[in-house]
Amino acid sequence: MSRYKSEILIVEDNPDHAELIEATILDCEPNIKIFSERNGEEALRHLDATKHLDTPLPDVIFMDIKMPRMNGIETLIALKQDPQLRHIPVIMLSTSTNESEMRICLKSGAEIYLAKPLQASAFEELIRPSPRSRAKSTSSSE
Amino acid sequence: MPGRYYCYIAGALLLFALIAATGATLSGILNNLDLLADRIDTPTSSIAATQLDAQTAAEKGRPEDLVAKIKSAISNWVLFSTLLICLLLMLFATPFTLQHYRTLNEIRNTNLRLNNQAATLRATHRTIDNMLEDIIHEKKQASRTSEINARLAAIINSAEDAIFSLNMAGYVTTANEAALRIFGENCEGKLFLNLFPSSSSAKLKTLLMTTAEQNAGSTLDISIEKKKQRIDLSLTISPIHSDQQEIIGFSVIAKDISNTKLEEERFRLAVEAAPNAMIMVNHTGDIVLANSEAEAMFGYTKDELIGQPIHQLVPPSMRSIHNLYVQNYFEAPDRRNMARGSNDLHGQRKDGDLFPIEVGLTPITVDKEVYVISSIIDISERLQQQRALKNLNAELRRKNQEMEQFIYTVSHDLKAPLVTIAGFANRLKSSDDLPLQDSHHHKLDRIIANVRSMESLLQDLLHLSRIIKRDLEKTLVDSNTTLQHVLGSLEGDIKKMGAQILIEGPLPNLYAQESLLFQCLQNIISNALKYSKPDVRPVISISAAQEAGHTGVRISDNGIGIAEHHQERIFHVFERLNPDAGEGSGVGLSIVKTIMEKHSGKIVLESIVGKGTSFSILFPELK
Repeated sequence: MSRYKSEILIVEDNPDHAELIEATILDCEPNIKIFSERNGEEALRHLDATKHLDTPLPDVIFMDIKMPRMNGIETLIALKQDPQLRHIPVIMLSTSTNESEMRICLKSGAEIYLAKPLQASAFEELIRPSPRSRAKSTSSSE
Repeated sequence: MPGRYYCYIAGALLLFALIAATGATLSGILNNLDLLADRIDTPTSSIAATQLDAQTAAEKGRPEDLVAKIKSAISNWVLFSTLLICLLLMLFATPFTLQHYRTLNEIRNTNLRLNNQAATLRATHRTIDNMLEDIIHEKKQASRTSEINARLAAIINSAEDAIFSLNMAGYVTTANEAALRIFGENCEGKLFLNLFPSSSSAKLKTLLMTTAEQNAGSTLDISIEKKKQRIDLSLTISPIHSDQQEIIGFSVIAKDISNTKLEEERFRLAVEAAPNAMIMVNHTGDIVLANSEAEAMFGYTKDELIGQPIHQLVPPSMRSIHNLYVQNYFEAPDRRNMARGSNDLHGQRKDGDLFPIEVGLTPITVDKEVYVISSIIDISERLQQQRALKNLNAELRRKNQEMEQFIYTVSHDLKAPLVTIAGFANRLKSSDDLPLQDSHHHKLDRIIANVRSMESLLQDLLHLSRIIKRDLEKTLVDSNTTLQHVLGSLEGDIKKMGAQILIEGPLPNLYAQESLLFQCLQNIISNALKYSKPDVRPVISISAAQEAGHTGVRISDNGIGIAEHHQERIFHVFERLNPDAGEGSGVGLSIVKTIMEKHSGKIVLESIVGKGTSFSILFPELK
């Protein structure tokens, strides 16, 4: 068990956005270890490495949609096809929110679809123990 | 002198002899009787008498002698007269007998003759009978003939065409009523050539002569002028033959073809005036008519075209197959385009140039002959235009896609830095480790507010581009329900403004995409709230709207109104007439307009400055 309560992976090509997301998360929950990757490819490589090093997988993934090389939706689909990774909840973040994009994300297995910027209130709602998310978080921490 | 006259003369002589003998005998008897009487009368005077008698007796004999003498005289006379009478009778009988005999003979002869004559008569009778029969037959025949003749005459007289018979000298011997009608005068007895204008009589004369020479009918089209009206005639001249097969005259049938000519002329003019090249072809594929457009299109003159096979206008490689097409077409002619569906028909100009054409075919029947009229259009220009249009369309589509991509990218990429700005501004504002003055807070608030307005602008733009891009998903929507949802979504604003919402009567069902109807109502009502008069409680009334073929919803407010010269502008993107009135991107009405256009509906605006505004959104009625 690491000294962090949990680990979060942020996949975001815009460093400013990544920084803001990170800051917002840390504002709410300082005891979280955050990894950051610039696009889908890097994220998958990171997770692959984690799998093989037998280090703990992230508890939640925050992922932008519009990214170079491999976008958020492609990465999401790849994640959900991997039996070792598919249990990790994925929160999709979009600059331009629209319904069809949201539908695709939820259909592809995303936990939730949020508009940027990530609001502290929205994050707190996510991690505050609602019955469902607690069950999830406990199962993932096991 | 006939013999009987001699008999009559002899008889007369004998009669005289008989009378003489009788006279003589009678006078002898009388004498003897006197003598006798004298002797008898003298008993008293017998002496005297006896004396006298004696004297006389002496002188004449005695009485007995006298009586005897008388007796003998009488008997002689009887004998003599008997003989004479017999002779006389014989004499008279002889000529009668002769006559009788002769008469008998004659009668016999006559009888014989009569018999002969009777036989002759009987023969004659038979002949006459036969003749009678013949005559009756002939008479019947004649009546039939005359009936036929009458019928023929009736036919000839009731014929539409003028019919003449001419003698060898060229004079009209008979003419029917139509001739009178057409030529306007009684033609009989006139020289046929004189019925026509002198200009054409020479031609006619030649024709008559050739008809006689060649012993065959011939035709000629000729025109005359009667009552200042041109009459076109088609003359058919045929020789008339006698029983001996000699030509004894001519028959002329003059058909009034003015109407046909007129129709022909009209047809020719119509073809000539057609904007397309028109070529008429007969069943052997030869050109019989072509207009000026056809001349211009193919580079041939009309004279060069007419009589030529149509395949001359087709590229050489296609000629044989074209002939086959022509043949097939005439077997089942119908009105259609040539080479249906195919686009590679070509014509060949006189100079050999090929050019793309489109050909419409129409069969027509003239005098039981089928012709086809081809209407030919040079489509080089059209094809060129089509290609250009196609290219233009493709380019437009590409531009559209680019534009959409651009809008999306712009919206997204412009939004990203906004997110950053807002994010950091918020962080700065809420950071605990930085002592901020009030003015700093105010500045940060302004930054954040501007970012929000920019964000909503971008959001609207994105929305607009999506409405334009996406296909409609129309259903029959109950606009009452939609309105309730809209009012629910605007509840906060309505409360804040203290606005009164009046729903007047039920709203119609509309055939629309519900989310877009929602958007329209929301934008309009939200505008009505936004552009209300500062110190007046907003009253928004919503009712059904109706217009020919359209039905919809009408939203009226008591707001500030829109000046007439601004009414067009408010539908433009980013147009905000009153920026002070509050937040807004200026895209709202433009979205409404786009949605209505997408539905083939319309938006009607009525507004008076200071009184209020009403918007009607009208959707096409579902048929």
